Amino acid sequence: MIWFFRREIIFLLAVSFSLLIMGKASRKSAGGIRSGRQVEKRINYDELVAENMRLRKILGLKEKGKYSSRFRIGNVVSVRPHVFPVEMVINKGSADGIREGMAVLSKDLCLVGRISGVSQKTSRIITIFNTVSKISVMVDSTGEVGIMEGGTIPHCILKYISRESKVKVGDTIVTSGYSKFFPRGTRVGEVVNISPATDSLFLNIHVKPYTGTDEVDEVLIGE
Amino acid sequence: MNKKLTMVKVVEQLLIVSSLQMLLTIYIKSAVVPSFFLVWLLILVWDGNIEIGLVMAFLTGLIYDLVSHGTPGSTSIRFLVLVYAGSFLRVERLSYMFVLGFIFSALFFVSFLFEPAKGFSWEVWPMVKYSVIFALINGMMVYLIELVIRRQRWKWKKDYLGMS
Repeated sequence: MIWFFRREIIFLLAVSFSLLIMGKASRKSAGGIRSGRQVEKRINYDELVAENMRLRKILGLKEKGKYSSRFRIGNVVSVRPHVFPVEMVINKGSADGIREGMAVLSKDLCLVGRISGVSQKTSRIITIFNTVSKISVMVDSTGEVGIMEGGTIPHCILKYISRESKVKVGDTIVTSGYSKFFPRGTRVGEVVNISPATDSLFLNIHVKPYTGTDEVDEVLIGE
Repeated sequence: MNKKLTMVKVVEQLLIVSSLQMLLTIYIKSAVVPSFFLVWLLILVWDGNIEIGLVMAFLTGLIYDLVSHGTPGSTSIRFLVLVYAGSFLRVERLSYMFVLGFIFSALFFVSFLFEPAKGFSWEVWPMVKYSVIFALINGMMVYLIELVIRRQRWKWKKDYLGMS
């Protein structure tokens, strides 16, 4: 009798194990704190130098007044999907001072996305590739403001830039500061393609974000 | 000739497929990374190795999550559901294998972008475009690998029976 239902039994067992592993992984990432020995293992000279440089950059960013609060550093515990991610989970939550809407930056201080959900020990990030992401951005060279929308890959679409604009391929796109989520001047991406929209007075601008294809294992969270 | 695989052969295949998948996942930075795991699992199941296929779906899902930094176990569930559903289909013809490989691959791709409460995380057009590319590559792989397997089997059979 059992042998007859072996396929169903294996399926149910495997699914149960998978759910168990998923639950355990979530709890583990929520724990977030490594033992002293594990932390010690990770530290090496190169990492210290890289960290030092990164912190100097952050300091510079704070001195310029872009971000008001101190930065938190979070480790990415899960990414979905693994290239051009639309969602990430980090091991920092409300207990670490993370709040919904905070900006998330990569180690190179480029925009990754914003916090969309917070639990006590973990937070969920919506990246700029997500279809719900609509960011107020500015063309650095001309100062024109538009909306950069996610949901299209490998590039995001910058809308509402006039046909008369002097924007050109290679221009840097930064946050405009009009949004309550992102302070002005955070680097977002680079213009890779410009074409006039057929049915409007605006340009269709493709922006290649600075983040997306490279692995993101650590992020900075600030506001 | 018995189509069923021995455990040694399965482990051997798992190692090859895992190595290929790891190389692809680590080095290809594109929206479409072919899934050798899914292709292999579908071929296993449609060759009649259902129980092994289910166990391997669980294992390969874990390996995939490990390599791609996904939530451990989440891809296992996707693979398990697809393999379980695939095990009910009796697929003999190569063209059916291609079509079903295409459908299963598209579902697998889209499942990564779907969240019950929020819907899809990409716009419809890029999602359709990339899922079709992904499904086409996987479908073609299913077709070609199965073709090679069948030719090899036929050759063995011919040699064994001394057919000219």
